[in-house]
Amino acid sequence: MNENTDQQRKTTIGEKIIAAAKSGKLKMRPRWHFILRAVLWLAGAVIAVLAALYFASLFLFINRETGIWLAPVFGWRGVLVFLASAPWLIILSVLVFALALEILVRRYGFTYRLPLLYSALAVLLFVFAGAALLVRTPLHENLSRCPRGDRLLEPAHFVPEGPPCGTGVYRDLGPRRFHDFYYGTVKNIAGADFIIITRQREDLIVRINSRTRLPFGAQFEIGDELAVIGDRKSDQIDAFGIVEINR
Amino acid sequence: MNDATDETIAHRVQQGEIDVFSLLMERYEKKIIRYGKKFLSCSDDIKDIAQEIFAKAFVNIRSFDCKRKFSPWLYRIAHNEFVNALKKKKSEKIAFVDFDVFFPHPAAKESADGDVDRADLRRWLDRGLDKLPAKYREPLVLYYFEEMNYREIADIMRLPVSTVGIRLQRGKTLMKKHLESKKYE
Repeated sequence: MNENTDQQRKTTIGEKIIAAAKSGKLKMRPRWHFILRAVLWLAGAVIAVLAALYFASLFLFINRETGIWLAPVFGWRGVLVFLASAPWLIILSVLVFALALEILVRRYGFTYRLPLLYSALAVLLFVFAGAALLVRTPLHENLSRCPRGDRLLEPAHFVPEGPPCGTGVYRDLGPRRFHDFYYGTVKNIAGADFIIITRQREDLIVRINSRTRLPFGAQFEIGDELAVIGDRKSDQIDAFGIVEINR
Repeated sequence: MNDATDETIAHRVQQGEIDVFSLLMERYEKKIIRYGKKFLSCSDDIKDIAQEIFAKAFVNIRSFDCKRKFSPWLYRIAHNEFVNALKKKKSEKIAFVDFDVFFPHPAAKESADGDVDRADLRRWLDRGLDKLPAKYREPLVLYYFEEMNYREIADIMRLPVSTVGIRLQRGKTLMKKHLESKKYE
């Protein structure tokens, strides 16, 4: 009896599908449908890769240009300055696009067969390795040149060419104010103190005292790029720490 | 034609030979229904779900790469349909995030159960499979009843291979505990 029912059911399912297929109610999707879907998926992955690479390299570029990543060498205060000043929106953008990339590649066997931790680390490694290469190209340098209105290694007496132009993150890079963190080029040295000129064409007097931390020494010269942590009063900074930005 | 491989038949269906699709249905219908019954722990609507699975397989057959094995491809469709059916049932919760997939499980290598062991285990599993959570039930069904290997199960469930191993291990341990507690009742 059961066998008969099974046989009946088998016939019914099989027959229904074939009948529906023959009548046109059930249509095979054409191959181009799947090709198009794969292409769209791939395009999404490429966009996610490019966006993640761009934002990650921008993050490295900002760190390199401003020296903010050096802030933690000044101890807890430096760590707090770093946390308060780090470009979190850019870091968040990197993470969002890296996550999108992870989701997009997770449909392929070479990723889903691995633990999520491995594939996520591989994606981050890929993004930051790519970003480290990208930041060596003049991409961000060229894009940021116009908004900043100057060049990083211009002589200190350079006269600004009017208000910043350009858009987005590079516009922010110029007038950006880090919390208790200043960077600029040494313009003049007067005894223990010296004057730096910031990218906003502002002259700041940096005062060194007995408590000032100089983890990499104090052999500064005119034209050196410096990152300074300290309390600012008017145009004077009471330096808590100074470090030269290695480029 | 009956001797032809699944992949050859699938290729012919892709070329437009609709009738030969019935051969694939004949080969897999019982298996899919068994998989569904054991995974869903019920026989309600299995026939309808199986019909839906074969309909989807037919509609999407041109996405199948004939250089690969047909069965994991079909079981992947079945897995999706059964998971949807489980979600609709709402009697069993399916976790959105499963930490099993995050970390490697180096100890969970594919075990080499002999044929006799497998037959014994199948009988043993039949006694309490429905008491296990779905995430442990499914790999056990695929491994011991559908005779898939770890990699094929990983492809069907889209899981890391090591997670398949750890779920099989945990599933068997849970099963043992359940059967032991039943013995003392």
